[in-house]
Amino acid sequence: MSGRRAIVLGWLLALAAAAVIISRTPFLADMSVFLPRTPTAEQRLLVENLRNGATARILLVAVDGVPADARARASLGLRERLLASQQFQLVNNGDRGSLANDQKLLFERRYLLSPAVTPAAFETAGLHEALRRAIDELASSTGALTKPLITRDPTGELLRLLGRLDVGDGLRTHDGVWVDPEGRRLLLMASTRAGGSDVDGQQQAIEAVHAAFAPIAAEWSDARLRVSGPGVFAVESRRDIEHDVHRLSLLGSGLIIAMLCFVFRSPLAIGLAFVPMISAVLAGASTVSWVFGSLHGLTLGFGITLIAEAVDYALYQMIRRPAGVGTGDGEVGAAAAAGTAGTAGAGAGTNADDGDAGATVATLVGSGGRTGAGGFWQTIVLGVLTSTIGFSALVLSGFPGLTQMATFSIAGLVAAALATRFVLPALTPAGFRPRDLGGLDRRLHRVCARLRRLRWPAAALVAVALAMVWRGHDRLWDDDIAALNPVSAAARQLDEELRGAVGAAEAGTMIVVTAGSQEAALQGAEQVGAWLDEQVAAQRLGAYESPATLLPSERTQQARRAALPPADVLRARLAEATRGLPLRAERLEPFIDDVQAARAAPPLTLDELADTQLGLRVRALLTAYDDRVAAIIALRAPAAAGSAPRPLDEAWLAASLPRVDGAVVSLLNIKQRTDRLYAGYLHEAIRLSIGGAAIILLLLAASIRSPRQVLSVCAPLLGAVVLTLGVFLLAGHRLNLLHLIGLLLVVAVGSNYTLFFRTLAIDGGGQRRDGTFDGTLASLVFANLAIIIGFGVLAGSRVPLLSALGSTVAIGAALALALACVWAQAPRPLRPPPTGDAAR
Amino acid sequence: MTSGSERRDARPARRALIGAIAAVGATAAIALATIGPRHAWAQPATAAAGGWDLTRLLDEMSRRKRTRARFVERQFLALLDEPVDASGELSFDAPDKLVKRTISPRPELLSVDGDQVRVERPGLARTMSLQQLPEVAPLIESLRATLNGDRQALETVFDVGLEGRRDAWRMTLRPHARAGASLPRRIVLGGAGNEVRQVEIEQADGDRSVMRILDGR
Repeated sequence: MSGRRAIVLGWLLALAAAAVIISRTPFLADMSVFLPRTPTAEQRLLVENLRNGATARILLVAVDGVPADARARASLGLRERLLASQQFQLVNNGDRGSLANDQKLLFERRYLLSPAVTPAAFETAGLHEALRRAIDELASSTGALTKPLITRDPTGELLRLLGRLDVGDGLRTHDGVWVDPEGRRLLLMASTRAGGSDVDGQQQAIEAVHAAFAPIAAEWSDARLRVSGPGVFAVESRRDIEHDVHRLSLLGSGLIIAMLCFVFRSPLAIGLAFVPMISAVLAGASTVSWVFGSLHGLTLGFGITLIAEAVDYALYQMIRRPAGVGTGDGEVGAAAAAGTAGTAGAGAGTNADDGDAGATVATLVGSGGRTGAGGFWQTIVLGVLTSTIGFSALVLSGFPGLTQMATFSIAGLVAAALATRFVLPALTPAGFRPRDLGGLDRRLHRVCARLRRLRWPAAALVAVALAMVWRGHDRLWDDDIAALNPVSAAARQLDEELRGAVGAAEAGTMIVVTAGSQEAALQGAEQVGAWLDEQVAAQRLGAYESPATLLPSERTQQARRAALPPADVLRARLAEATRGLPLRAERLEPFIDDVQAARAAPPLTLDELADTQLGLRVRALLTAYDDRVAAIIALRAPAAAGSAPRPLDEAWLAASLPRVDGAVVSLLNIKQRTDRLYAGYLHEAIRLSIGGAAIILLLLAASIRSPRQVLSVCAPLLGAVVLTLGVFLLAGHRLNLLHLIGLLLVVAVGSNYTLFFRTLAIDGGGQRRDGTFDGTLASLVFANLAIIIGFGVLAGSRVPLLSALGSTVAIGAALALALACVWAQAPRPLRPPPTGDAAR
Repeated sequence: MTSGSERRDARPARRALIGAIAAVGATAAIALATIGPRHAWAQPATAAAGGWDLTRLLDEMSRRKRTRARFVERQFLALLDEPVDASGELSFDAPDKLVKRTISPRPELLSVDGDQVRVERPGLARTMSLQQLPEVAPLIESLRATLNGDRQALETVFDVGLEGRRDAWRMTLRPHARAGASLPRRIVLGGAGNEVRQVEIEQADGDRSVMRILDGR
């Protein structure tokens, strides 16, 4: 009795410890863990930086349904309220006020920013030419624009800068605020203070947008708000996952409890059935927290399925009543005795390495395999081992998310088995006797016997499915990483629409200039920019966007500053330069003042660009990690003769990129690269799974040793996998990584079924000596039902990853049980008990 | 840098630019609109006597479908010691195409065609939508409405004054107070009989330009 108490106490302590670990673990919903790691650490960091950088902070806001004459007022009000919420660094709606900082900065810093600032331009001849042009400009149709600036900026640097930043068609405005090309939808761009990976911060920002929209909604009942951007995606996927995990685990548990009620009709039994379940979830979650330092929402969603799996063990343990214990008063004793007998086996099985485990299990299963707790536990241990090996294959995969899920499953399964093995008997009060399902079992056996007649039709069906899968294997898997994207197609379409409307294209092809410092990276970007200018001129490239255009390197800034003459020199040159022109040099004193101010001013820094749209852009293109700084130059394809741009010749670009001293220049296409990597990892994961399956077969072969029996154990598993693939193929579903995990789970769960059917065949069909049935088959059916409930519920999730997993396992597990039953060997007729029976 | 937000950052400056363009374009439109074929005004009469008034004037204008003329423009800018001269051609095609082609001192083309505003000169060619110019779009549109004889549309933007006789008249346009600040303070059209001979624009800052229109046909 003290042994039992110690076990229960230890179990409770372990649960408490696990709960403490979990409570301290950050809960993530960032989808990047389901993206493959890029090959080099440097690129990975870069990609992560891009995901968290300035571009990830942009929210696109659209308002429909405001009448035309009120749009400007609505947009300005929205902007004001957004800024007042303190959630946003910048809010731009096209209104002049929202660009005042940028204009001020460009004007004040024009002599450091303009590439036309050279010594020659400030010689007398250069100045004369510039002034002559300025006077012509004054007389032209656009003279009204230059007139107010001419005495301060006679060389036209501001216009030159604006022209350089301008590529033509801008955003359409209505009464001075942005609207979409159709002119009906108001558009705003807001940059959040919270980082892109700060999902809570993003959520607050999005809530602030909705709050700021409320007065508009109150005034015009037709007004509709749409918000998009990386932050919205992050918040929505987290909300969906959380919501689904919550709702589906409640629904799944509810259904399973209902089933348990039907099976046991005893609150105590139902409570006991939860012991392995709670142990599995807590062990899985805490192990993942401990190993990875964080817990992903999807891993937790995946954990719901463990509820179903762990209940299986309880069902096997509690429904089944070994032969010779029919009357029930010895039930607990039997379990306790079995505990003692099986301790060594179970312990060895779970702790040993794979190789040794095979031998151990071989000994265990091979030696007895007879009626009673010993044989029962050997079957369970073998089942846990096969599952563990299957998931170990995924631990090796390049997806952090998959590794988490696999770790979760292994820890959970082992904990569930241990809890069932040790804690369940210790918690079961003396004299407790669950409901006898012998009657049901008998009927099930009869059904099973009838089903066995279908073995050849079933084999034919599997053969057909195999042929189908063989023929369609190249369109079986979905290589597009979008298949893993938890963001709904509608949300993605809205984002594309809004991005198109504001002209904020998603990052495509880019040149990355990496160096040891920001200065070196900018210098490198300037050198690459000079080469790119030639390519643009040659029309091999449409345009490019480099951080060095807005934040020139200090070296370049100093060179420009050095080109500016001191006041007296400039004054003398201007007197000379204005000769013969209607503009008198005395009027240009403001110009001399501005040039002197530029000479004295410190170089432009990134900090100074804060609070400007330009700064936002620079920050998006300049990213620091470790001790490296990367300048990103976004490329745009050249415009074709028609309207659609020609695609960039990336091979040519990659081959002809200029070399830069002190910096690494490389070409990067994030979307393509991620897709390629994903396809690679998917195939790697398939290979790993096949390898895992092979090891499982070897393990079973080593433990069972009879080729015929190995076949009878494995055939239903393979058959179920093939049929499941066939079902998806017929339904036109392409499979992704989560389907693959599902198939592994099918093998893991199904191996329990086939092993039990094998035991049944050896043990005389689960029949006790008195002719009643021991409930093994009933326990299998209910376990299967639990799996179908648990995973079937998951199949209804809005998160594609979870629904893929759920549908695969629900279908596959049902098929595995059916095939295990159909292909099971007919039970041998009951014989007198052999000597040395493990059970009393 | 060449895209994204920078493009937007350039917008106010561009808007000012187009504002200037459109103001000039609008003036040209008025000028063109008032160039009448000689025969349309064949019977001289005073405004008071012959029932001749703004409505009649606009009505005559609306019948013109195509007009070509030369112009000579002189600008008086406070900044410069001497006035600056320019010359070129004006044209109008009903219902909504206005073109001002400068030949001297520097070639330049400015056109408003439907919703498209286009500027062309050596090293620059740019097309924009009139919709992007909320401050001047009403001006251009009301002037085009004028060409179609819609006096009401003209008067939504300007206070319109007409004085003199049919063979020597002055039409003065003053933007309503609520119209865009980028509009001129005053536009004075001078005509004799069926011809507009002069367009004088007084900018908000006091600078002024006088355009003489020759050889209207």
